[in-house]
Amino acid sequence: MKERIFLKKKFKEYYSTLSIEEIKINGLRKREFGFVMFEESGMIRHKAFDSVNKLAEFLREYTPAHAYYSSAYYEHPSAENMNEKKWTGADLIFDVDVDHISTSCKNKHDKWTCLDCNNIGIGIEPKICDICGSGRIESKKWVCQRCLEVAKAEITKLVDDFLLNDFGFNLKDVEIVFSGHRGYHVHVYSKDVLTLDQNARREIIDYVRGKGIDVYFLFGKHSYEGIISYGSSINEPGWLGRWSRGLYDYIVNIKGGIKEKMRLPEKISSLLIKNMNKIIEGYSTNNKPLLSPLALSLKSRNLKLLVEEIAEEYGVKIDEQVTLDVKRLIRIPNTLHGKTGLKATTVKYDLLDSFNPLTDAITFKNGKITVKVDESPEIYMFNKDFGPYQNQIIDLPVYVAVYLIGQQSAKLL
Amino acid sequence: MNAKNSVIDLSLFARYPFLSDAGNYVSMFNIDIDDLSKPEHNEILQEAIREIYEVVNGVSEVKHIDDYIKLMAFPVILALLSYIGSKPLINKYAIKKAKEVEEALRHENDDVLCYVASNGFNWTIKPTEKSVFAINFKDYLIASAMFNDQSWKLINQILINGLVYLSKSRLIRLMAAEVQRRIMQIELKREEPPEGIRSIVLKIREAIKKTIFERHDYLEVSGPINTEHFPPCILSIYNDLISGKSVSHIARFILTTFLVSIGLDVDSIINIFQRVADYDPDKTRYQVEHIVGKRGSRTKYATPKCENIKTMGLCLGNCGVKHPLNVYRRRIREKHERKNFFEKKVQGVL
Ligand code: SF4
Ligand SMILES: [Zn+2]
Ligand SMILES: [Zn+2]
Repeated sequence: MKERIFLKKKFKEYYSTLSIEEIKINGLRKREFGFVMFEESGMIRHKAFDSVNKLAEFLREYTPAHAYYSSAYYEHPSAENMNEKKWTGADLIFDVDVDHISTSCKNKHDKWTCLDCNNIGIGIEPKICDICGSGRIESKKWVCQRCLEVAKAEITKLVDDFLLNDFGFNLKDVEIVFSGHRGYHVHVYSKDVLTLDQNARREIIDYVRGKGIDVYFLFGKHSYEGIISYGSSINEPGWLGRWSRGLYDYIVNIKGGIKEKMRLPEKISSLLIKNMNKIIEGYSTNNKPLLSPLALSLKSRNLKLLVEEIAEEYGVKIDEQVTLDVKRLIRIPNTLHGKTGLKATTVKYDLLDSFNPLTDAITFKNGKITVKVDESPEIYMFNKDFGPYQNQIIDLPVYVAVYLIGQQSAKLL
Repeated sequence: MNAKNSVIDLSLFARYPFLSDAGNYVSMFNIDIDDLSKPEHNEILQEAIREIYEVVNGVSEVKHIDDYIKLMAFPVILALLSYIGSKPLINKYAIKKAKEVEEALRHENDDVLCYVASNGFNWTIKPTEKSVFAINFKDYLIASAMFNDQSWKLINQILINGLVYLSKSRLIRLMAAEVQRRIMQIELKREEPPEGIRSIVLKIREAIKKTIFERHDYLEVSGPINTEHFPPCILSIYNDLISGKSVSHIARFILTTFLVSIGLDVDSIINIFQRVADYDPDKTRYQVEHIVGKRGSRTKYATPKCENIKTMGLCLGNCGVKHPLNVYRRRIREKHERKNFFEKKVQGVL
């Protein structure tokens, strides 16, 4: 309890100095707002505001632990019933969260416990416990520099290659936001996406993830009867070139031993490896992978597998549900995340490369405070390592203390 | 070809009566629904009725119709359809009209295609090189939702800077699909038809009752088919299908065999498949009848076992059974048991 009061006090400090400019929200009056408070669990939903000032006032006065708005626009955003709300459209949202990407460092910092049999493990938690089969699994996950870099690389790919190049969105309609915890959100505010239904969004998801690519699209351009092409040039636009570059990267990487083999049947992998030089040569002489069923003696079923694996590997690992759900609530940019005290920072496109959430999203830069840390892996914030800690009473910078308290790993004395 | 030039090309309007220019032209005459029974508009009304009966009876005659009459009949047909209130009839008309438009578009040059797409559908479209067209991805996504085929997925298009590049023949198919989609979206009128067309509407309603397609077509999804008893694998195929998502051949096969097993007849099953965009009545009937065992080999196909469904990658849960039908039977049984249980309890209390 003491801890929550402390966090709330810190958050209030933040919101009382927050400039209105930072929470300017497109179509604010048509959105639904939702909040999770420090005092109670559960979410307050169906709130609406008629100006940014009112919203700012609310944040200052009530100071929620988490603040969300709907990606959707409604005629009556405060109506409690979805039908009465009258959906009129929604932004297109992408979410890249390290939860959905396997990174090797997870074995170092993530742990899980089965609530039914106390079985424990490290890394990504399983859906069901491997001992008792229970689905009640509690996990303890941590922010880590490496994980966040991986997420940022995915976001860069999403924005550069897909949103700007292929979909042709205007940069001014694309907002990149650090989620405040383990990833990034991208909001697209274009009239071209506003009224798209779930079917259409599903197609966008598949495009971005690299799902459902057709062998004939890549290799059968000139004839739908037989596969006659050797693949597209790496300079082709869209997926044609992307796929070819993907194959090239993949082959060069396994050749250089940087990459493990994909989940491809042994037969395909070994054929690829056998033909590696031929393929790379194909790239260097005519920019095309010298890849055809003839060159590889692949059966069409296997070629299909190869094509799909490469495409999924080179698509962006977004959380599909977030993009698909046109009524979802999403964290308001530039508000604080109640589990980390980090700011869900809007990142300018030009500054994405140099953006480091564990420095740039830190809010409470001043002061130190003594806390008792139950358990924490080594964490890295503001260019410094802290921990690992185990049952320790220690003086920490406020931002580290807030972070550990938010993660329920530390208590005030 | 530009609307601003206001060259009224009646024959063009008759071929593509959904053009906004055509609509503007029609509205100049200011004919109200109740005016249709007047002798001077009788020809229009008769043409509309004729076209609807063609759909009802599944025939089509080659007949030369005056452009003006043909054009004026279009909005009348839509009005009649919405008062008749049969979704299947609307769908059938939509399919027929789309085919007609597709055929006509094949004979047009690039400029006319672009004009029809932008004036008729408000699409952003531009010709690039000869017979390659670029359309806005949003317009593409909405129209292509009508197709199930993998080759229409966005990922299998050339998408550059927000534009999807299409060959002439694919553009024409897409435009036909859009015509179909738009007609299928017309809303059913709940109120009684106005005096001027009442008797006609009632007569057509009567007529479709006698045709097979209508008998089961009022069947609602939530009606006799109780999807809450479906196992996850079947339910997911079923939901994909009725929400218009792409459903593979094998998945359709599994669903059909399952529906047969739980007692649906051919027509009811076809009715479900009608929700699919690339629905082809004849082909669907053939396939369903084949599975049911009325055609071809005359063997009735059984629903695959879980084991097989699993290898096809369509299993969605560990239901702990060997066959999807076991789940269905179990759930029905449980429901009955629960019902009996509660009834007993109530009796006990009384
Ligand atoms: S276990 Fe059987 S019934 Fe259940 S989802 Fe899998 S295949 Fe379907
Ligand atoms: Zn367990
Ligand atoms: Zn990590």
